[in-house]
Amino acid sequence: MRVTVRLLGSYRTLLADPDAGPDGISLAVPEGATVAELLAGLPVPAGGAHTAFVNGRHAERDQRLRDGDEMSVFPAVGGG
Amino acid sequence: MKGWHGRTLRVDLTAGTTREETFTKQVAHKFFGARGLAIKILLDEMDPRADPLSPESILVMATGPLTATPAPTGNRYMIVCKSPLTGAIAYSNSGGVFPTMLKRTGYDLVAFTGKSQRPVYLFIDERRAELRDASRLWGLETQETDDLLRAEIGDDARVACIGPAGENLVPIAAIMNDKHRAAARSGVGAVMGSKNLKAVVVRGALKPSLHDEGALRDVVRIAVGELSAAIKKGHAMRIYGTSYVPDVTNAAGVFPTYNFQYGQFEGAGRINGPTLSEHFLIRNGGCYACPLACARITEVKGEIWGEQFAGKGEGPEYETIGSLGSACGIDNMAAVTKANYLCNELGLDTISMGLTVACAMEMYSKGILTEETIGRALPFGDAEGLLEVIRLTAHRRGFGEELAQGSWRLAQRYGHPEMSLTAKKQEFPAYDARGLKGMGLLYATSNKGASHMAGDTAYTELFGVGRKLDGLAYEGKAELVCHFQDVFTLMDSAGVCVFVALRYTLDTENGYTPTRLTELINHATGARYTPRTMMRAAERVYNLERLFLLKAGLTRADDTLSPRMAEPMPAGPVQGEAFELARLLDDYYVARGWDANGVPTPQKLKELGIEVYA
Repeated sequence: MRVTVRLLGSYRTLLADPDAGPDGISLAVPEGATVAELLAGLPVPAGGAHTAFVNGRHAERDQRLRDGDEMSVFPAVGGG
Repeated sequence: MKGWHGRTLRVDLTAGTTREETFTKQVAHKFFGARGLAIKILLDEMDPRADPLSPESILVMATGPLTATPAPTGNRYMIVCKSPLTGAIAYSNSGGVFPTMLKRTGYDLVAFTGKSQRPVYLFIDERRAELRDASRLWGLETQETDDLLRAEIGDDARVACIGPAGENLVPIAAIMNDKHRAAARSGVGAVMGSKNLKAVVVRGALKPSLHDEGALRDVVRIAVGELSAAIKKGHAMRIYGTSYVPDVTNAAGVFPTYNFQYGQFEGAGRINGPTLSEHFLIRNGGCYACPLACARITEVKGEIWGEQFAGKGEGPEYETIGSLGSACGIDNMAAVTKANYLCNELGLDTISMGLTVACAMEMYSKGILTEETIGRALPFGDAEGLLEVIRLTAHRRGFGEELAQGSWRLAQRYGHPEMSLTAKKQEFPAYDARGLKGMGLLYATSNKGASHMAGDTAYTELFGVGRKLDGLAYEGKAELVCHFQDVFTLMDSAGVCVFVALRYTLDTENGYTPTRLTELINHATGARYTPRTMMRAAERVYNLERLFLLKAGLTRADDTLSPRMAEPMPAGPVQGEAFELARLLDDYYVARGWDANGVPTPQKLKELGIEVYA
């Protein structure tokens, strides 16, 4: 299955092509993969304080992903 | 006295005189910090029912016990007065260099009463204060004013001033300092204008003495060490400033779009951090001695973006992108940046200005306002229209006279209250409450009307700093909002900036407890607060402000917000969500120890030691 991933905030700079940020990058992931498993394959700091959304809603680490899901990840910084 | 100088400068603008007044350590510890000492002056000396633009009204510029100390971001001050926009209390915060220099004059606070016969400015040079003629400055924009005053007095002087909007008593006028920093909200600039006070200029090197500077520096080293490590790994606020936020709020479906009709904006990717960095950023800037430096010094080049948008300055911040950008349907970053520059130069609050224009744009798009009434077409997305009506608003010319009153009065006048996104008549910050229930309760109950700076629960409900709470849940939000309102009161009152203080001086993993912040305050002042008694001091200040509101005539009925929030979000990740205030308000009053009418109970006031103010 395929999941679209968007890295936001300072994590945008971790992408090879930072311009891929707004529309996201499409990744093939195994059926039934969890948020934590997908995070482990991304270039974000291991053990960092990330916040993840799936389809715009806050996602726990053990949430299973489904085909076509959109996941956004950003560091828990706050502000605005 | 430690941490504080223990001195307030009293300025009687009617008489044209100044005098020094002292306060004791006991008073400073009980009526804690910038907001505590300021609300005490207002409650003791001002009729809360007075017209905020009358000579009777008092305006206080207040620093905190950590201002001008080595505490990280100890560079803030507060403007406290009655708001001409809300009729409630105003407490507007700003950083930069001015607040530090204000405290280095040897005064913790400056309190203004009365009204000058002619335009004046106040010059304070190390406890020598003087009111000077400002006739030649009247009518000038804020940056010209700043330049002229510093050319005359010296580069080491720092300026806070109003622009045309404040002079013209626009209820959404700001007080600008160091050219680009704004004590923006609640119309504090109009209060200054009503006193014929154009500017305050400060110079000094009188640092407050500290109780235990060594111990204070030890705590600072730990906090700044953690922040520096985060910056090394890539800190969003260092890389993009607050302009990184539109990507997050848009993904979550809470980004104000077309006057909060929607929560996702198709142009969000064109008014975000990467766009700002790539095309407009010159370099980062920062307030005095800030270890984070989140400000953006920017330029819009006319030859690339169009001469109508050309300019140089700072910003835009996230809130400005949401109000002058997406809420107005504008996806042109050059235009948003220029609109921000204009607001700064004219002395206007970007949030209230943007949402007032967005309200007019919605009314225009629905045929409620016509080209004839406005004097031009004003559809969503009209960048040049936005710039024109900002200028009209500051000068109260043409349709600007109606915009100057803010969106609440505009929407009332044309019979569409739902098109004003306000609480206590003050415009929302850039978070849609339908997806963040804590923010909805915050807006509705805040002593100053809608404001993120009054207790930004988005830190936990959206950004996940510390513990991530579900933004859509109602459970626990009443207690959360009480705590955030109090802990933000504490940061304001101490004189530090939320951006660094929340993350590095609170224990975010354990209930956002002010552990390190309390140590910093104790080392600065010699007080012996525990985190618990520190929170109690903040709660006391919050209750005193609430008493001011009640005495001014506000009631439970004012603890509400725009009816649009009760309508389901039409699309996006939080589609179908409404904000139901009734599910939270009573619980909030209970959590506060207030009665069902939102009045602090006699027991609560006694517990806080402020029953004399009942």
